[in-house]
Amino acid sequence: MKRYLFIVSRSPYGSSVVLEQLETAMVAAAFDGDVAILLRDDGVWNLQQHQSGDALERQTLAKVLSGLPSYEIDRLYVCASSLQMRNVTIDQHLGFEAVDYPAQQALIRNSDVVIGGQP
Amino acid sequence: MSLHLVFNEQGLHSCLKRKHPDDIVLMLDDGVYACLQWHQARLPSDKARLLRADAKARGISDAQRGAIETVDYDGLVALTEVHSPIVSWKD
Repeated sequence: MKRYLFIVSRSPYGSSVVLEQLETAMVAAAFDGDVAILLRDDGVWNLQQHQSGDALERQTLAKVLSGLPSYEIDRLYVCASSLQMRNVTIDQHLGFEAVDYPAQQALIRNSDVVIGGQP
Repeated sequence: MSLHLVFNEQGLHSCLKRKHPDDIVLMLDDGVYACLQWHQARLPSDKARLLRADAKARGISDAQRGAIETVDYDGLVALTEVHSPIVSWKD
């Protein structure tokens, strides 16, 4: 089974990049990929609590993230330093694990395919 | 061993925090400007590569490049063949 890592570095509502990445991740999982997600830098804003995509007639990204385990995507990671720099606290039931740089390094090296957000 | 494709200076910044010391970094596009940061950080030149056409187009001098080797497009392809995974860094 191929191990995929999707690295999300964009904020939730500045573009549609994150939603597209997550949809791609779901497709990879549907085709039996072993999928992990890493949120880094502005990507951690996707975990911000009290989001309401409704205000922009968009999907709420935190809700999309909360749905990932039902697509069998349950290796969910977030960069601890990026969280700390932005003072974002995460909703524990989203299931994201805060990881340091060495853990992120290992995550990359242990993946077969790494997909970052493209502009 | 991973190959990191760095497309700009911010990309190098993000990459350096998360790459293994043995990994190779290929700087291309505006990433070729990041060779200056590479030297400032005193990183080993043998772990970096510059895409020749992008460096030449932007006027990166031999002094700026230092001991970092350049590769042409065939060299880029060769690197992608022997490394896994390949990670792109644009921000």
